[in-house]
Amino acid sequence: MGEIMRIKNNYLLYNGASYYLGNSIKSFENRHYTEKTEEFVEKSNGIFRFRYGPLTGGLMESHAWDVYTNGERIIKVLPVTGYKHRMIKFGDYVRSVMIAERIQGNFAVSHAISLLNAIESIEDIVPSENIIKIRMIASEMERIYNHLFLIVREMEAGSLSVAQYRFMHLYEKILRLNGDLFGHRFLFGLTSVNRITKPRLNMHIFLKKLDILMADFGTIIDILYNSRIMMDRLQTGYLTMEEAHNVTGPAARGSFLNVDDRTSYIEKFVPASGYIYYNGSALSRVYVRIIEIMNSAKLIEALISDEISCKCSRMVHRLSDNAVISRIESPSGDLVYAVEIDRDAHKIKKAAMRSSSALNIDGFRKSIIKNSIFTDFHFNFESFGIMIGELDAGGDLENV
Amino acid sequence: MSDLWLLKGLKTGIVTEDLKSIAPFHQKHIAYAVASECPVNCISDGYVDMKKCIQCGICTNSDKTVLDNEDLFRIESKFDKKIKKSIFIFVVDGGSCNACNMEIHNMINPVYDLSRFGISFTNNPKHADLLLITGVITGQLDPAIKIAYESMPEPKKVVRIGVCSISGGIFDKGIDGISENCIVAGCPPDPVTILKAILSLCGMV
Repeated sequence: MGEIMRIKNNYLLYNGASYYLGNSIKSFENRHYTEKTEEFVEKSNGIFRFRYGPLTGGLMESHAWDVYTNGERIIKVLPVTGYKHRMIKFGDYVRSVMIAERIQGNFAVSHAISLLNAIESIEDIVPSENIIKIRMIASEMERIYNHLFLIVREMEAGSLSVAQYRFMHLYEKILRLNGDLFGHRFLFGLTSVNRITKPRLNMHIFLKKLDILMADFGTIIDILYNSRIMMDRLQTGYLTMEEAHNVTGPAARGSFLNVDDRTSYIEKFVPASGYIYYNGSALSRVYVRIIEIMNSAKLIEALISDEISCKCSRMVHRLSDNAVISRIESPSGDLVYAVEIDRDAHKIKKAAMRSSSALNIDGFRKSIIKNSIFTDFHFNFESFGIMIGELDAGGDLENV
Repeated sequence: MSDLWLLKGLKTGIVTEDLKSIAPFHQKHIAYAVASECPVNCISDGYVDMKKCIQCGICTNSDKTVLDNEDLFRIESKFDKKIKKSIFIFVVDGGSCNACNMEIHNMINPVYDLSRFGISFTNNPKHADLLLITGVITGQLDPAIKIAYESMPEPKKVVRIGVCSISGGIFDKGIDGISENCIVAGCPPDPVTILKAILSLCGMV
């Protein structure tokens, strides 16, 4: 039996040591592991518990919530996951990357790149500048369509149907652009070890198409900013700066924290911040996503025109000769893979993954109990960008 | 505010596309294939078995023999009579990566506009005519899916969406006791293929 590699409560336990993973590259450190205990809800008159899920409207992926309510008000929510526990078994590198892409299909590029960074780092493979550039472009396209999709879900929850269908139209165009450029709408099969799918479209034609879509996006946003209904409906689910220290991605940035892993690997990168936007509410998180869509489009343009380049090829921390921790900024935040490989067989021996959703689900639980009623559930849930597939990944892969 | 939406809408015009004019997305990209390179063994006897193909893209980089695709969807048994009333769909995520779910959600997109065919989603299996299953069907979800299926009124049909629910794809196939009436291949299948399969199943094309 070898040493265990396990991620628990945002700590990596490996080889007798424990590493605190934090919510960005800056907070990575060797820290003593402490067990987290669940708070207890007292049973008293008026508190009613009901199970929401696993197969029901509103929840896109199969999972459930134990919701404790007092009248209309939500007192506490407990996630019930494990329904989507697929037996994930990594093997040789090519197959492992394909599996990583399908842990969370809409974060395929982030999962693949994070795993590949780990493998390539241990194998001392340095991908060419072009490979890194294409990976970054794909990663930003993934961010654009995922942010758009979450905005669609917010509009859907708020019954803002006209805006919802406008964004859905745009979302479909972005998916088609993905397909035209890389051959897959969700960017599956884009990359493998030191390899990249050759773009099927001239990059300048692609850029022109993206510009047209972004101009359309800007027009819709201008109209939406005048909507008082949106302002009122989304002012819920507050998360303070102190509470946001344990969340990641747009959820943290919407609560005034400037944490973004891209600052570490992309030149001149400035993260979108929620500082100027409201108060850590669901609206604030939606605004951050809107700004990030525009930023990502600018970033793609800068990458294609070689105005900026990547500072380094990967963000990894070596644990031993055969094991590393790799991290990348996925659309919902910081995604961490810890990998140990068998060098002779070119296979993955052990792997553990800490998804952004594993952190953000705690943030959601903290924000939903602040004067929220059940109709606020969906605004709040979607604003955190929680994905259950990556939260529930099982088998050889250990996660939180 | 509403005036601005109206003006924008008039400027954009109709975005809904005729189903006949949209080619299934993933058909055109599977053209060259080498059997030995396929990670899921989906290439045999001159065909790409779309029920197994995960669209990994490895074969498209090879410059070898051109192969034909099998059908993107297959109907096992249609409804006995053509359905004249609205059709309600209940979607079940049996352990998918969410890509299939997103493509099903995409069918309400104005580009595809599911509602123009009188089809809509329901949150209650007791109101549903069709059960759409995505993902590998994990042991934890199998009982819930069976309960949902049993509570659907007759006549009812089951549609499997994506290779994970058909053959397991790159994952191990889960426990499964429900026989399907229609399968839609792809990883994930695109909205137009899903829509065409549903319309064929209901005798609407």
